[in-house]
Amino acid sequence: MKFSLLFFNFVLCCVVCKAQKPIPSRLDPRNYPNGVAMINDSELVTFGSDISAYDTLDTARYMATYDFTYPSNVRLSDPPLTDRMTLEIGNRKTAFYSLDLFKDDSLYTYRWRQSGRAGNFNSNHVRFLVYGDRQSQELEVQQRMPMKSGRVVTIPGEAIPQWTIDTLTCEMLGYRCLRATTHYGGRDWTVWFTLEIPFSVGPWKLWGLPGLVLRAEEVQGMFSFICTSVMVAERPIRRYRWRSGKPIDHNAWLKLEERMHRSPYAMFGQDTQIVNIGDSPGLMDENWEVPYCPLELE
Amino acid sequence: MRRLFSLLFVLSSCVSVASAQITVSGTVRSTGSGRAVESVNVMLLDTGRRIMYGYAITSDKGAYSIPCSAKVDSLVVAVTGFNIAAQSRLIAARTQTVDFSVTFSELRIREVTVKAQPIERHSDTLSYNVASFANVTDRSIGDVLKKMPGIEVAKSGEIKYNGKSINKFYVENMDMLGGRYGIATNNIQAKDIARVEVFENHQPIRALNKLVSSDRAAINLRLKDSAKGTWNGTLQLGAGYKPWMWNAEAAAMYFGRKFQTLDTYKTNNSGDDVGRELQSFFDGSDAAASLLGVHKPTQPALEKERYLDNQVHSVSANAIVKLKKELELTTNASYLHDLQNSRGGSVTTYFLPDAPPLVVTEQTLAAHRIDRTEVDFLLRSNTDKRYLLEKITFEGEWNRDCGRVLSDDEQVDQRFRLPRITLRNRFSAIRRIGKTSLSFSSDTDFGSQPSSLRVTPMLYPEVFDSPIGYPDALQRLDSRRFRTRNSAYTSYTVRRWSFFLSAGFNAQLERMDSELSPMNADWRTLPAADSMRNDIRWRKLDVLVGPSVTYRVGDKFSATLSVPLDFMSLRAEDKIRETVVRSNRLFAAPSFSLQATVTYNLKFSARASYNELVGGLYDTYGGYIMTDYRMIASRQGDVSRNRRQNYTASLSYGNAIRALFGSVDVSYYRSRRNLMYGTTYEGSLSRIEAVAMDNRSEGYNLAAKVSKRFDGIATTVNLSGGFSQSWNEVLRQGELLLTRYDRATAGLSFNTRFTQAVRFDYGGEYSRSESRAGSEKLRPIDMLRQHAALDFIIRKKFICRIGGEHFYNAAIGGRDRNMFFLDASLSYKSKRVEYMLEGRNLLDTGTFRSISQSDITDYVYSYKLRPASVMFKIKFSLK
Repeated sequence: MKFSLLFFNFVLCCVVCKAQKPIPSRLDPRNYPNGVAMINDSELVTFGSDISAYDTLDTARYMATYDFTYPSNVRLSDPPLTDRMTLEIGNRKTAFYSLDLFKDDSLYTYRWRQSGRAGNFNSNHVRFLVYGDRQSQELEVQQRMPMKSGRVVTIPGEAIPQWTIDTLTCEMLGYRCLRATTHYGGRDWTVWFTLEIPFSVGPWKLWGLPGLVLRAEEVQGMFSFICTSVMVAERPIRRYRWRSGKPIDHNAWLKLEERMHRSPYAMFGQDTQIVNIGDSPGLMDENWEVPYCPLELE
Repeated sequence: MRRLFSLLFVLSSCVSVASAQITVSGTVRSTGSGRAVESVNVMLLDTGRRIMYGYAITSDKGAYSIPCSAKVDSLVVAVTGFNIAAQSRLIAARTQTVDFSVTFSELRIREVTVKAQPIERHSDTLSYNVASFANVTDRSIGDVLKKMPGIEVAKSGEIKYNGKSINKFYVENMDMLGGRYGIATNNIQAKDIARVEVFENHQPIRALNKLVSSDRAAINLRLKDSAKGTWNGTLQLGAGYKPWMWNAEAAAMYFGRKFQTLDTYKTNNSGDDVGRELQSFFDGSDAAASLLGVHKPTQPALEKERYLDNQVHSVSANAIVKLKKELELTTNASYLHDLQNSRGGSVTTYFLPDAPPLVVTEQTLAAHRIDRTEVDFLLRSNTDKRYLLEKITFEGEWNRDCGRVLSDDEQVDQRFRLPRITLRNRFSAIRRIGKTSLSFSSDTDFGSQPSSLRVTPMLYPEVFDSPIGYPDALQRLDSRRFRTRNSAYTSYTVRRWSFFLSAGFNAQLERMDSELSPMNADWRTLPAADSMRNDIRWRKLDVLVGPSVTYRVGDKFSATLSVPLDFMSLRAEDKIRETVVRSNRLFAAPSFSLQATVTYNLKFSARASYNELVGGLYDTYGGYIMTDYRMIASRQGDVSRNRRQNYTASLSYGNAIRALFGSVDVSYYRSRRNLMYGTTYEGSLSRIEAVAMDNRSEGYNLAAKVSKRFDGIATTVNLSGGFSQSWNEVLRQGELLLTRYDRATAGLSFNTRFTQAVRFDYGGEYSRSESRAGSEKLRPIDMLRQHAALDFIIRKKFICRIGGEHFYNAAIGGRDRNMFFLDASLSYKSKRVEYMLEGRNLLDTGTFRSISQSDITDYVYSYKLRPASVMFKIKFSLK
């Protein structure tokens, strides 16, 4: 009997030793300070960020929501993706950001504050936030860094488009709209704005018209902002206290954005273990490329 | 004096240049404090305030300056801004300063929230929000598709977008049904669909994207989340009178990410042609239609429910499974059993040259019994780099028809048997490597159809010169065909140019045995005379080689020139007459096509082509074949050749913002043939014979459609119009006649909502057709067809529908010139159960009468309709 127990212990030890075979360092999540990011085939995901610390820029008096449609960054041949965006308009300041990403950040913050850990919380949504000053007509863009929690790149002094207004009119959301066109960021845009809401603001950076922009379409049809609601509001316009390096100019951001898509592993793969859970599951490596179809070409 | 004129000219030029551009400037200040107001919009508008000539936003000093080059005498300067009372001032159009003093006033905006836009466009994809178009009266997604501007659903279930048939139908991007998408449009419930997407210029083979253009669109159904990954189904039971009727349907479906299935069983004798949804709208088997058949009454241009006397059972099972990434296996199986009875009468008038018109009067009864099955297996891999398709199809059809004709106090009975079996294999492989692509495709099929037609008695004994005791005739026709079509091509792309080189080999081997024999009542036949027999071996081989080149500018423009050369070798051996016809020819079939995106919403396509069609076995046989109880045909002679030029151009417009769609199509053809098929009438017997005589035909067609959705009143309006003319040469009684046929059509249809509780649908089409033969002009035929339906919706649960149809045919005299039909239904819907009480043809219109013309023939016909009837149905839904 004793012999049997001894033999059983020996076998168990052998099995345990076998099971504890060292994992290759590349596969061990503990070797990545940012933890694990799970992606669907090929995409740059955004990590949840804490939104509990912020500065109040102004009070939003009006609010408009838009559906922003853009090419899939999983596969360009996939159907386009749509994010729900919000434009908060105050007396002096405005903010434009993804409502979907904001909701994810809210959940992340809630979990973080409840338990001190938020777990693996990442999503694929629009990463830019645009802050505007209605009096000086100046725009500042914050770009959330993919796969980094609470990190942004700030691009101040963004130019606003030069518009050509034509004679076409139509009705949208019950408002009479005029059509205007521009060449901006290397792309041609057609927008519909209404004089009945006399704010010279719009979604993203489509500012400078004498009325609120209700619909904007890139001429090739790759991008569009379509207003889905206009309402009166009373809420703070917040600017979150995320970490930002030295502000960079517009061209430097475009180069950085291209690098993030062309060589994502070089930029993020050292700190984050990137696991594909899509159709070709596995760990991403140097060959990984993300479909690149930027909103701005120049 | 000359200097003075020059000075005046220079001065006037300066003045006119100066007056070409003016500047309006000024400041905007607050009324009370006099402080400058910044960020205020100042606009220069026309006096009607519709056109904006310029605008500015005030600086921090409240200043603005607006240049304007408008050639008007007066302008309006308007000031608007955040919490500022709007102001405007009428001014003369000259450079001046206009200052404003503004007061603060709270801005009030109309709060608006929309859940989804009715139609959105993203590049070449249009997305229709189903909830914007559907209402409680819609059952299947097909009902909603009809209301979407730009989309048409034909009675057969075929879907067209901007006037052109679609080339694919997807459910959640998976192609389960192929061309039999009528199963989906009739059985998937409207409430399960979130959006309908239209992919314009859709190339279904991803490896050919940006290499081979397509001018067709595809439709994709996007399901609601609640309908994904779960079983859904419906069961309908119904009974009615008169005659005693049943109507039952069951459908089960599952749409998951990797597996989809849609299975149906339907049976009725109430006139619903459920076999129609098993019909494929593309990818047909090309099985040769049988030459023989019983004489049937001409079907009226009415909804089939009004006249179809049927007993149908149909089963279909369809499934698609993703075996792995981008590899799909699809299976489709269907079985149809149908017995269709028809009864009608006709008066056919043949206008003969230099002879009194020949009039044939017939009363016809026919019973058409169909047993048909089809099974498909399809394996497909469709990626950006590779395409692979393997499809095996089995089709079997066992038709048994009976017919009786009463003509000039004589009665003729007919029996027709057609067992048909076809086996088909299709294979296609495409590989794209960088700028090069390679492709191979093969399509092979084998078909056998031994058919027979028995006619009792044979009305024309002179055809046989047969002995007494053999009054009947038996026509046997056995046909077997093997066909293979294989092609390969390679392409290379250099910047905007793509070069293709293709090679192909086609072979068609066919054998036809036929025999027209006298027969007695005991089914005994006498040996057929040689003039009534055929034993033909037909072999046609084609070797094709062809270059083509495409010039492409992104997605905006593409032009393709293709010049394939076809070396054809044909051999037709007639074993009875011991003759062999050989023909070896080389011909070219050049084509040129272009596609252009003129603006974001406007697309243009055009195509010009020339080809030469060589007739098949059934265009070259020496022995007579009785195709109908009063028609025998022999087509001995040269191999028929038809040289044809085609020119088409199409302009298509689709504006999602304005929900405005439209298309204009123009086409012209011209053809030259070496043979004519002359008809000789011997009493009511028609003999068709081939005559070697060059002849030509030409024609053109214009068609236009406009479709617009008015969201505010939930109304879709469709307008259509068309005109066509064609010229043909026909041979009657040995004499050549030039005929001309003109036809003009105009249509209007709309569906609208008077109130939340009352909906109205209307559709009307007017047509005028006219025929001329030589110098003789037949009287034109004006026809009008209208239908309307009024729905009363009470508490979204009770639906009362009253509908009617009106037909007008100016060529018919008496009361039958106008025909009316009245229908009514009442239904009650709960969450899962719907009760329906339907009344059809409540005016009990018994017979449909109409008249039509074709070249030099006038055809007046009548058809017995279903009587007034009532039916009660219960429909259960799983969800």
